[in-house]
Amino acid sequence: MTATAVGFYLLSAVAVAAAVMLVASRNVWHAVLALAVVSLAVAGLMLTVSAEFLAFVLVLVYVGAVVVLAVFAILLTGNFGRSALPSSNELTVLAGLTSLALTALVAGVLLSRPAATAAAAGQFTVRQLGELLLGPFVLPFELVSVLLLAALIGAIVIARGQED
Amino acid sequence: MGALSLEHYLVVSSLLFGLGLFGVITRRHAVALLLSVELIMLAVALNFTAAACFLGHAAGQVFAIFVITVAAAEAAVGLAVVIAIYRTQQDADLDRLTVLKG
Repeated sequence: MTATAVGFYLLSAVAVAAAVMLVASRNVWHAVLALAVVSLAVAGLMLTVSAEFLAFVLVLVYVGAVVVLAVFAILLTGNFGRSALPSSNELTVLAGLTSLALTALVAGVLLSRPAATAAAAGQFTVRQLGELLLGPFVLPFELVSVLLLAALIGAIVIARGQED
Repeated sequence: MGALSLEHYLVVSSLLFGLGLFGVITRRHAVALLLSVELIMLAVALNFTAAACFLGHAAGQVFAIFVITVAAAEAAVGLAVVIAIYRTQQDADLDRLTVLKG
């Protein structure tokens, strides 16, 4: 087993364990921490497929922005997060069955077919990504930047509330 | 075991997606629900990245960048809405937010 494979299995275990903690913890702070751990583990998984740029973008956006935003949101919604609220509702069993069935179905289909691609084929440079973004994908790129701008302005307007 | 293949990554990704789906259905705290949505987006980004590597086309990584961008936008708007709801309702428990129920 190569070092990449060892890293893959370790990081996958960390990611899945932290994801379980994210959905099962009663304390919302633990959920935020778990999201940071999952993001770091997935960034590590991206490193194992030699997507270094994406891994760093992921850490920057998820750990740097989304987790911090979530922490602010919890702080601004008072002490609600600190109380040990029931983290689930009456749908827990049904939700568990649904998620389990979906995951088992997808994983079963994936594992039952012969592995089509054994070796990692592509290692891409940032230059290649940039040329794709500003070449064939320039329209989606501009659209997504407008979306991001609109979303951020909207977030400020919504969160600020009325100023009478 | 053996060498890593695309399927390994897809299975991990589907596990993360299933857990995120479970979280979206069961979480009662609004922020925790949004975090579960982020988990789903994370699984999708991993999917695209692994596909880009194993199928040898950089477009997958471009799609992953788009997914991450949309996830960031969704987090910003979602958390702003949570704050706005909390300001009027003094609550972030989704089971008690029934103002629009009629």
